Amino acid sequence: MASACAGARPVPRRGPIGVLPPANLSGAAIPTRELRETWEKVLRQRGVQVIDPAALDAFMARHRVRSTAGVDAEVARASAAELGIEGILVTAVELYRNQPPALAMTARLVSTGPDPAIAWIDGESRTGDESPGLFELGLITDVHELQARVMGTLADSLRAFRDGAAPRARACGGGGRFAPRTAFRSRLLTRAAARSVAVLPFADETRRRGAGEVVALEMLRQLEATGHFRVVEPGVVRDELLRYRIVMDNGVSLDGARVVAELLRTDLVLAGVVRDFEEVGVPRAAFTVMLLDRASSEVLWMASAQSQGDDGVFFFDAGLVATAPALSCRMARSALETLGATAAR
Amino acid sequence: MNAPRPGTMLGAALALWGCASAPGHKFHDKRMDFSSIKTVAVLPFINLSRDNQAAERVRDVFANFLLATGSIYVLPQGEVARGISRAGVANAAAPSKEEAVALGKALAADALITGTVREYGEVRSGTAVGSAVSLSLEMFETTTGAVVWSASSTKGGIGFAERLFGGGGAPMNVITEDACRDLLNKLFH
Repeated sequence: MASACAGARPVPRRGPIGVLPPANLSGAAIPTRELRETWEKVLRQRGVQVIDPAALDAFMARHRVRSTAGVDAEVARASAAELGIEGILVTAVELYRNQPPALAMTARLVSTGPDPAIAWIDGESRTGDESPGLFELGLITDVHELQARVMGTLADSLRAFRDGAAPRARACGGGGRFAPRTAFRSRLLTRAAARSVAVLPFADETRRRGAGEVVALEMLRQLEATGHFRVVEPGVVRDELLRYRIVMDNGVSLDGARVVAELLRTDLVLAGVVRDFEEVGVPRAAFTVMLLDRASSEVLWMASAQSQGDDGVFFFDAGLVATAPALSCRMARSALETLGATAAR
Repeated sequence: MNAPRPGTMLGAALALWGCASAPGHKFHDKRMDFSSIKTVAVLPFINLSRDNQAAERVRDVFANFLLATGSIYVLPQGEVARGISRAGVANAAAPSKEEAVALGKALAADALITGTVREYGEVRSGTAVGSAVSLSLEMFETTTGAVVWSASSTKGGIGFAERLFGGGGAPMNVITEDACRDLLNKLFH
């Protein structure tokens, strides 16, 4: 069952953690083994205690863990007992390209034990040619150099969080230029207390495989960054949907949302649909997201956003958002501002 | 024979210009109390355009705009799909009177909105290119299954600027939003 009703979240700060192989949301083939090795190396360099990957692999084989995109309650409980780890780092590769190099990653630390919860989440994305600078001195042509930079930023963020020097989640740079085209906020929505939210997988109407998961993950990250919501670990949500065979092909129904909210004991359910997600050339994205309330069975909030990376860019590409995941993150943050949940940067 | 006066000529020209700008039609059932409509289900639209996703895109924009007005509660699309399945409606885009009543009960909706996307996408005229959307909507009241409101709107196309400077016109989403805004104006006024 979900950890939504738990009070203070366990914060894995000092003990060892396990690093799951990266989940591939890039829609293309990625060098999973190489990325995992580099990621673990970068984490160790930052002083993060990572357990032997062979031990984690053996644990995954023993418990038949097939999805590395999340941590369910059973895996969280068993990993604490058998591996003695206090957290599992779940990594998602949202964009990977060799030439010109591009990498977008999201990582989150999920606490182990009986109540898995997201302890920390952050994301970073870069393309090699996004800041060429004077005489193209800032151009990155080596994908390994780019990997080191992206992973270094994420590892620094995790390290700072574990040292108590950084928040659980960082808000993306937003700005009015990525504001949603339309938004609705019900009067029933109050901000009396932090409310628990289950983020359902977004329906994907694009040709880009994994676009729904990328946008849902960015939305989750920004929800966490607001500090007003306790978001249920997506692995727990996925497990419950599979266990009760809940399929939402045509979008979420009120009954479906109510069932999910009851199973996970959350106040709210967030669902959405991604209509556009383009990474070639100037990135662009379009999605609609809605927040359903368990108590009233009503839509409490809905926002429809459509933007592209060069919105509001006029001179020398200043302010250009180079990747679709980074654009989605900014759009998610701007959309959440219409919810009245302004994220603190 | 008397020559037509300049005022008459101007009036005729304005009337002709008005016809050319295609404001679309509008029907309001005068017996209907529209303030009693609190919950609406926007059903899947009929797609007559070449773009396979046009109907879903336009429906999404319209439903969001309607909800964003804050005057009417719009049911989520997943809920509408469940209601259609539960009420056993054969063609949800064009329900019969009985089906509209049954669907209204299944969804607890005061009204249903159906639509037809007649045109969506690029239009060409000679070397000029522009984007256009044309759609019509109907609202069914779910107590009797009668049509109480109907309107259509066409936006975009090839105008003076497109002919003179080219450029392809405004993006599809902007034009779709214009058309939906126009239809909402026709619903509320």
